[in-house]
Amino acid sequence: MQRKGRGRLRLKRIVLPGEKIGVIEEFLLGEGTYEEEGVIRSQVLGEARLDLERKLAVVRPRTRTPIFPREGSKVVGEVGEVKRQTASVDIFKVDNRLITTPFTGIIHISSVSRGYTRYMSQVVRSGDIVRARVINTKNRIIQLSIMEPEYGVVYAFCSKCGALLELKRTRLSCPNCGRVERRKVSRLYGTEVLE
Amino acid sequence: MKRKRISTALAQGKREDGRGLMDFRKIVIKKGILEKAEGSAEVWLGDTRVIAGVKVGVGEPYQDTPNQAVLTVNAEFTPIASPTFEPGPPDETSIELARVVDRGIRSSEAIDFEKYCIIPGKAVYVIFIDICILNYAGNLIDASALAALAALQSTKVPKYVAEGGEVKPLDASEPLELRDLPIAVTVGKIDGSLIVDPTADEEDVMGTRFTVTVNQEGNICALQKSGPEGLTLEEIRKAINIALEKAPEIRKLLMES
Amino acid sequence: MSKKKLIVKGVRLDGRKWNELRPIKIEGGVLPNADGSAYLEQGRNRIIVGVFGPRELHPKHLAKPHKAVLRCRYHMAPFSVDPRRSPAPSRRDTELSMVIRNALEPALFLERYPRASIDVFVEILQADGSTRCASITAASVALVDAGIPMRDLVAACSAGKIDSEVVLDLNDIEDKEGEADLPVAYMPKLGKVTLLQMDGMLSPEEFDKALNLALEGCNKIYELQREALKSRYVKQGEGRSAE
Repeated sequence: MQRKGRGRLRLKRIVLPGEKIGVIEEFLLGEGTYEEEGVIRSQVLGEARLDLERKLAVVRPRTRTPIFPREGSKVVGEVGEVKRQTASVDIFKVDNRLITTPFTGIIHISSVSRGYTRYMSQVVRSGDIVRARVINTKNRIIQLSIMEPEYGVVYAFCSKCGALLELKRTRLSCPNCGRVERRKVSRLYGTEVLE
Repeated sequence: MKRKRISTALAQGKREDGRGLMDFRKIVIKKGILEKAEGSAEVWLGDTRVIAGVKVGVGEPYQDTPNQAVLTVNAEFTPIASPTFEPGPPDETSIELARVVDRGIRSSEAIDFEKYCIIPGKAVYVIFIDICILNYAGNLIDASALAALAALQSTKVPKYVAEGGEVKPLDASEPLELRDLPIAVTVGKIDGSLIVDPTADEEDVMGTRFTVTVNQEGNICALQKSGPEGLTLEEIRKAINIALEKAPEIRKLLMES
Repeated sequence: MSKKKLIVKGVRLDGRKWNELRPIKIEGGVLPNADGSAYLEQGRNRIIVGVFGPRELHPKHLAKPHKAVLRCRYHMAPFSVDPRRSPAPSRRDTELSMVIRNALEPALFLERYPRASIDVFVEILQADGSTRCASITAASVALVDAGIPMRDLVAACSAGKIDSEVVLDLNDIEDKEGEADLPVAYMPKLGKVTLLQMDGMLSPEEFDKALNLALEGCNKIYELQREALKSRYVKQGEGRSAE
């Protein structure tokens, strides 16, 4: 069953994990496939497509796909314990998808800004919501960076009265008690959707 | 944030899923779903899903009630019910759940414990109700109490006779006699609004949970309040009136299914 | 040896022939809170499986730096058997949890999710023999439903010997009173056996026959897993098309 459409030859069918899609002599391994003993098989339930022009076999999943932080993932989480050089983050959003069981990540003081930061508590506080990028997953814990402008604190709370701080130009101030606080603020402050 | 969203909606008399404050979610009751249990039932309350199984055996009575059957209610939160449940021994929430269900059945005297005595002081019927939570989406007490009752309604009690001081099984059974149908109605309080049948999100932000179990005659046969906030006398009266109004509706569903 | 006859005039007590499976019903995606789930009926077996993950593993010291940990829990509801059993896990439950894990693990790419866990929770609502096989069959459907990448599905089926005959898919009484029980799990597309246990006594010829019979059973069960998944994820009439 094949037909020429817009100059590209494609075959499409529904496959289950383990089903044979092609052989490595003919196709390259694309998303959703794996190879064993020269045979390309699907690893998910989805639509298998053989792109005859690019010689590529892919399977586009029909099921949900796992949510797992990888290098480069954009994540959002709540700051937990803040130490002198590190802050832990309970990640509840990975690449725009919410998760029910948080992953733990860590921000090191060297991934906070290009300038010198003396104490972690000058840039994030426990209870803040931060947006960060995963820079390393190879070590024991997921390492995060908030260096670039889009990353940093997106919601901060007054350390005196607990109210949500408002961003006025570059300063965070408390609408309740007037206290002014310092953070490494994301340019997306106050706009991140949390639910 | 969740709290803000839920309470703003409640202030306008609305709930997140579009229900009114006094509306239950859709209730589905299936009785007799398992062959190996003497009684069984499955209840859906929206996405909350529980199974109750009744096993009937013969055992020794408690010393202080030698001529009464023994009833044991046990509840288990299976880890499939929620991503936050971990496998392990029953925690205080599941023990409370089992005990609230137990109290409703016991104090309404729905089961005639003296009738289910075989040899006084020696052999009585032992009735186990096991509640298994399959999906947690709030209001486990009402769902579990309903499942337990539906399972009891479907229960066939194997017959035993006393012969020369020994208990002998007969190859026969008869339906369990139920003298009452106690219905649990849980009322939640969020920022001063009272609601029935809370969802999991509503339970997360609820200040108080108050369960009123009502029997067939409209008497109150069990109460359980929990949560960090207090209730005013006015709120207690309101909650009881809500339960008195809702219980017959649910009982009707139970009898029709 | 056994008091009761289990096969009378070529027919088993539940009316099946020697090479016949019990009626099987499989449904995927039955639990809203789980990442993947499945419900299975096989004879009077009633099994529900929930899959969670990949997610962070707690306690953390159990995590493995280069791969995910597959955790399986086989648990029987107190009312699933006669007489009622205690809800606390027995030694048998612990062993079955392990053999189920071993049967599923070869199908998974655990190395893709370092430090994470993939949790498979099996709840036996009613037990009627060969529950470990039925659990594996259901768990495999639940894993696909969770979208967890897999090398193949795992289908499982038992064979055994009752009244000196080799038969397929033992039920509770056949398991208890029979002479041998041989549970097998199999990845049909890859042709690999991932669970093989035996309990009882078989001659080498009988073993051969039983194993082949169990594998035939696995292949039939695979087709049912496939149908269940397709009916959840594939629109009617859609199968193969070109664009």
